[in-house]
Amino acid sequence: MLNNKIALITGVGTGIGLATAKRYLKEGAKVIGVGDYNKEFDELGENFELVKCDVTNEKDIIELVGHITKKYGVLDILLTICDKEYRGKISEVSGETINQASKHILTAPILLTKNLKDLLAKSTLASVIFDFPVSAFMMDKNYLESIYNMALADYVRQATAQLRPIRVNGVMFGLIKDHFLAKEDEDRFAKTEKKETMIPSQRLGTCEDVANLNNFLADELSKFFNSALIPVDGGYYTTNPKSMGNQL
Amino acid sequence: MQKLKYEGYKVLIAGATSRIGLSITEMFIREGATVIGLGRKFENTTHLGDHFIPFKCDVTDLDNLQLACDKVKELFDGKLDVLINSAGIGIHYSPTNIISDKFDFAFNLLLKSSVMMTKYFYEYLYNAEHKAPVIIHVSSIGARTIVSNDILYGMCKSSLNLYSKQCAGGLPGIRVVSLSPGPFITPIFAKSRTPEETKQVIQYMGTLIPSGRMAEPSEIGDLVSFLCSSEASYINGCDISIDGGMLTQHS
Repeated sequence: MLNNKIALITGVGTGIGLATAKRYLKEGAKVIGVGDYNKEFDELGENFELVKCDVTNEKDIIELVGHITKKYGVLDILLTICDKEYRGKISEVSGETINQASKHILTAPILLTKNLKDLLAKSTLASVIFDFPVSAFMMDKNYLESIYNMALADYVRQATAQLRPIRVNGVMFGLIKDHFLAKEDEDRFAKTEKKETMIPSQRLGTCEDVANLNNFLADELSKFFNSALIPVDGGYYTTNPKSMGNQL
Repeated sequence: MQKLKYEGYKVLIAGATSRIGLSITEMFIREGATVIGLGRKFENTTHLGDHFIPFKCDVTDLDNLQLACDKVKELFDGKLDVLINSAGIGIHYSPTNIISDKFDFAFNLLLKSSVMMTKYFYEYLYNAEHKAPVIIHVSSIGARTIVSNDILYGMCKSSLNLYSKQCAGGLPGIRVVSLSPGPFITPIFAKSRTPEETKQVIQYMGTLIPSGRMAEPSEIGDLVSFLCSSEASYINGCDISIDGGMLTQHS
């Protein structure tokens, strides 16, 4: 249970973000969401608030910290989910895309952690969770986001060492249905569905699968978890001989 | 009355009689499961009640395993929801004082027992009544680090993690996960120490860990409770470390 815990979720407009917000609310938490508007937010009730903030901009983040300090005085859970994708070949990349990917995938969690650590330190059992794709460990077409996600995986360990006793963990999700809600094009979805038989669990993941793990890591039951990188991918990347995910 | 989380579940646990295995067994009993516990001595399990079925078994002995197999067939009607291997002891040898017999002993106990148990019991798991069978190999954070004067334990446990992934790929429909605990509080710390000294050692160990303390064995039970549930139904083929962040510390 997350009774009266205060949670900040970035990327709350993605499938995983929304599913996790719903779950945290069901467990009794108050949720501050940052992300693209989704009409389902209107149904989430009074314990949910959507806050406008460019999480790649430190000035904006400092304003957000001011808001949380004033309204709640504490933060128990920080969960970041990148709500952008960066795909394309090495030969096609531009400096602008590199900057954008770096900002959204890496700068945002790092600056949020830096500016929120004092509010997290006021919690009796603070939990920082970074959600990112386990495909970061695989040779894949989306190499650009992979290299920054790999760096984020390392940041989980660096942050654990420096922020004690705040706990920091990573959730590495596999092929998840409906994560990028509106952005999902049908061709790609059909291709992904074909992979189902190649997944040891024989199905694609759901946003709820990831939300379940986000909930466990926010809960007291997992209080000894720290610096863990936990895949939730049905075994697709973790057992794939071509993936460095087989080291997870 | 509300239904217990694992009511009606049929669980087999090797190494059920002490430390991590015992805490996992206690969790399942508390949540309503019936547990066949394999072990050598059962003086620590008398509090577990009727739903705990002790079965004396040396898991490195294939004839013994066959008898355990017959027992599961007889008592559980050839059905198993959860198989857990937590059998093991510390076996401390360095590259220079290693003995051939101890090498065989370590690999038989810490690795081969899991391999053979999987082979003996996987069909029962496919018959699982609750249709979501799980195998959990209890590994160790020792699988992810290098301890030069304790070579066998790390070798066996890192192989076990690999084997766990091989199983996840090779047994579709059964989830196979290994878990790697870091240091946790066991009676071993109290051995040949006064209560005050024990407290000091446990406190000192805590300072080496970002979470500021060692784990209680019951926290491993809580993790298994999560991993065997539908909440974790998409977690498969991976190793889950629960070490309080210990491996992030400078040496």
